[in-house]
Amino acid sequence: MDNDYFSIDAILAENQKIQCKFKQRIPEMGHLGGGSERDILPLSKRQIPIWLAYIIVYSDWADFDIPQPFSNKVRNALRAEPRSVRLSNLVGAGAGWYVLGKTIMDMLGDEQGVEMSEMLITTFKGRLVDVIDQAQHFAVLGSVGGGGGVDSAPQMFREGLDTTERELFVLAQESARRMKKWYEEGSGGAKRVL
Amino acid sequence: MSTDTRQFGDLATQLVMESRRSSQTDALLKYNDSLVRSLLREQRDLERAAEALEAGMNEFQGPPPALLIIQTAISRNKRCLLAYHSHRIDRLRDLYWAVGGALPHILNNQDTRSKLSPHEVDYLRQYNSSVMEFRSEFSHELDITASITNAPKDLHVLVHVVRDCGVIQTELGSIDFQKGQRFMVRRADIEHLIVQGYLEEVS
Repeated sequence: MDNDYFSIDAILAENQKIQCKFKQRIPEMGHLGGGSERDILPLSKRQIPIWLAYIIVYSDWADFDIPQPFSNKVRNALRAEPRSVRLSNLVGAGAGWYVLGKTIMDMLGDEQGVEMSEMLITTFKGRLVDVIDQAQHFAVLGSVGGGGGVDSAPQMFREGLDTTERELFVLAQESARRMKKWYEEGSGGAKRVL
Repeated sequence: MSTDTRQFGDLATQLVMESRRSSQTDALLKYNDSLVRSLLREQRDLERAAEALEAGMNEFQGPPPALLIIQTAISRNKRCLLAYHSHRIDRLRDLYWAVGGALPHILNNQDTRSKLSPHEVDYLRQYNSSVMEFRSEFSHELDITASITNAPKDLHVLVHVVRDCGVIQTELGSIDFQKGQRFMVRRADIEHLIVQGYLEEVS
């Protein structure tokens, strides 16, 4: 977590809320998650932001449910075909699926944590080739949403990219563009050696 | 507690959102002094609440959950404050190097200057002193503030004066650079003027 300390993305990812089911009474904290009572009562459920949920779960005052973006349904779909899932639809606007996943993973126990980690890595690897491949193909056309025809599979994939993948896409696109420019203009008109 | 109607971390989130907006628009925003002060006030309130809980603690029971939650809120605010300032400082350093270390160029620009807090101005000044001191140790061999995006092909360069920059010392003596004129000069002498936009390289 240390190298993420100053990361704006990591900080905002921890604002995502998870469902906590309380096992004990928490006096004076009834206002958390928008409640109006003075205390939190046992068995009550609240939506708590992850940054606050850490201590609550770690101290065993509540259990939390793995949020929907990482549910079994999603997990199975990713296992079958990682490129088929629109990650951007699973999380709120501006949030990253991978960043959120890592944040939740940090809260899970060893066994579940390892499972989560493997899911994130396998998904990432399964999608990365297409992300970069499309980026280089569209280096010339120059827009994330353009090309490939309306509703085509490549277009759907591009629209479903999570924020981390989007950043990589833009970087790869820019890189391919500069490379092309260098070959064509070059320093002193160096010719491309085939 | 004054934090009843507003949830813990709301102000902190607002501050960090400004950092995000700044990244997304690739622009330095105005230092949000009032929001920072509000956050610091919230910290004081939280501290007082924590101290009250601590005072009421019984040594056998351990800390009440409320105390740990309040401590978490305090840490969260601290992290957001640090991240906001750190993010701005990173941008300022990038800006500094983009103009080749020409600090007056940054500070004399009213638009930029108005966005900085007094502490940030101090930071830039001290940073500049450190860079200048470091640079002077080997300035005969290498000028670390020179541009690195285009490798110089020649010792000399033909330049066109875009804006008056007055009399500048070069290897040929003093030259009065007036708008519209052209000169063939040693790159090292006027590199910083190209970076700042006074001169334009004629290719």
